Parts: sequence; C-alpha cells; structure tokens
Amino acid sequence: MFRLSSITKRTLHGIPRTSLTAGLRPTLFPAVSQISRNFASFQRNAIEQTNNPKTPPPSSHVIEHPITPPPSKIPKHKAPTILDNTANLFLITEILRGMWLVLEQFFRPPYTIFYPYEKGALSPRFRGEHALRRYPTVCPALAITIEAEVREDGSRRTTRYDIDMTKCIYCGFCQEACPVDAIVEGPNFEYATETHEELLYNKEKLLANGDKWEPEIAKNLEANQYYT
Amino acid sequence: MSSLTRTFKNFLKIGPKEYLRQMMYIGDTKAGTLVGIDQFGNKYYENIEEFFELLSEGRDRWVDYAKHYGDASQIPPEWHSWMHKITELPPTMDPPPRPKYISPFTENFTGTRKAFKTYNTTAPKILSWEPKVNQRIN
Repeated sequence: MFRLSSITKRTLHGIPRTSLTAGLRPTLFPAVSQISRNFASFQRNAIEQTNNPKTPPPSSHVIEHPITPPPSKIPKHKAPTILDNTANLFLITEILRGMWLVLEQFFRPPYTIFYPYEKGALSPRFRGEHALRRYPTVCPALAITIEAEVREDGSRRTTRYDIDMTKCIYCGFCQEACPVDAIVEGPNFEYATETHEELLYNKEKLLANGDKWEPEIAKNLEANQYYT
Repeated sequence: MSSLTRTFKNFLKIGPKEYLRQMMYIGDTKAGTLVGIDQFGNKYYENIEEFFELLSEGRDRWVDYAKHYGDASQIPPEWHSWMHKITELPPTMDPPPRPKYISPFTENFTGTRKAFKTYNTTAPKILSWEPKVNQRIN
C-alpha cells in the first residue's frame, strides 16, 4: 500500500531510503522494474510484523544447526492511517502499479512465436495430413473405408479409399501397416477447412495430396529409413 | 513488441520502410539473411543468432509471404521442411527428389469456390428400378 505518512516520516527524520539500492539487480530493464518493485515494497511493509523470538526446545541428541538468531529488534510498522487510505484512494496507486506491470511486459520479448511467419520445429516422423503415394487397414477409429475390385489379370484394384479426417485420431497405424509406404501421414497440418464435407477425403484427393507433398514425404522417409 | 534494444538494432539494419512493412505483417522487427525465394515469391529469411537471444526458440527462421493475405499453407513442401527445421539445409542447397508426376502446389482452398468437394469413386451398388412397360395384350 502506498503510505504517505511513512514518506513524510522518512524525510523528516532523515532516514536514508535504502530500498532503492538494496534490491538492484543487473537486469535488462533496471529502471522500469525497480520502480514497480519500490511500489510493491510499500505493500509488504504495510503488514505489521510481530517480534516473536521463539527458541527451540533444548535436546541433547539432536545436533544443533548453526541457526542465525532472530534479530532482537524488528522495526515495527504502524497500521495505515486515514491519511494513507485517503491518499491510496485518490492517487489510485493500485491502478498505476498495474499499469507499470503492463508496461514492463510490453517491452519484454514474447514467449510465443509469430506463427504464420515463423513456424515451430517438426520431426520427419510427424503425422499430419494423409497422402496416398501411388499404391484393409488397421484403423482403430474406423476412419478409413476401402473397397476393391478384381482386375482382368486377377490382381486387386482399389476403387474406394475414403478417409474421414474428422474421425482420424492420427495414430499412424495405417502407415505402419503398409509395407510399401503407400499411405503415409504427411508433414502437412495446415488443411483446416470451413465445412465438415471438405474433410471427407476420397482416393483422388489423397492421391493429389501425395503428388503435391511427394518431395517432402520422400525426404522424410529417407531420413527415417534406419529406424523402420 | 519486443525489447527496445533489439527493436532499435533491427530497425537500424532494415530501415524505416521495411520496418513499417514488418510491423504491418509480422508485428515484430526482424533482421536476417535472405536464404531463398520459392516459385510463388515467398521470401525465406534466417538469423541464427536470434535462436539464442530470444526467449522462445524457433524464431530464427521466418517467411515473408508474397501475397497480402499470407497463409501458412502457401509454403511449398521443399521450403516447408526447411521452415519446420526438418532439414538443416534449404532446398536451394539440398534439393529434394522431384518425380515427374509431381503436381503443381496449391494452397488450402477452403472457403473459396476451389474448395474440395468429396465424391464417390465407385460404381453405385444399388441401381434404381427402371420401369419397363410390357406390351398390352387385348
């Protein structure tokens, strides 16, 4: 709390204001943070401290640690007077202290990244948007639907390969099940849509994804070839 | 907003015009070396020293979008891996494989008329009844 009476008393009795220099640390923003610290120290001093010199009970088997004895005289602070409260009310010191805090934070570097311009780190094993790479699954979320027909030579041809991207849990089992890495979860995760229907992918969309992202998918698989 | 010293240092490096441009788009003052430009005109920058200076890691590589409404899905796959630090070297120095079936890169078209609309890729299993009128015998 802001105490007007304490300031007047300090100036009257000529007590040096040590709090300005005692809390100084070599920070980047010494001036700004020091001012708010001084404001905050008023609050701390306002709490009345009691002198309570308790000595531990003497015991023979306990090794006595060199505890620093409590100071014999703790300076007592008086409770805020009407003058203090009135000054606090009319000078809106709490608001000013809060504004200082905001100003301090404004001139500090942020903890976040500026997303569309700067982007976070990704692993080559990142499991993002699916892509078929020109080739029944183990999908636990039942997001993948596959239908096949028989070709003239007896081999199998997939006619339907639908993935409900809103059901997918991105577990990566589908890319693990495929021995030839035909279905992979690609590195793309920026495929958010406005409607639900756009996320019901069919075979053509997945193949188009593969054709689009092949340079990066191939590179990631190459980086991961020692671990599969 | 970042620390005043960093902002002022970068402002001296990039000049007032680029400063205003960056404040309009990124909202931060950044200076670095131009690593490359992709086929759409997006510019990719890097400043390795920032990796240790800033509080949040991953701010040493950034992109300056060619379009006014820059979107994260406008980054082609070659530069996507560099932006996300999957690869150390940019595609100009370490080009990824490009098979001939690669299709031209497109951004995320959601919200536009080019948005993906799903359709059936199989022949219908249930055929509708086609009524056939027999010849009337009188």
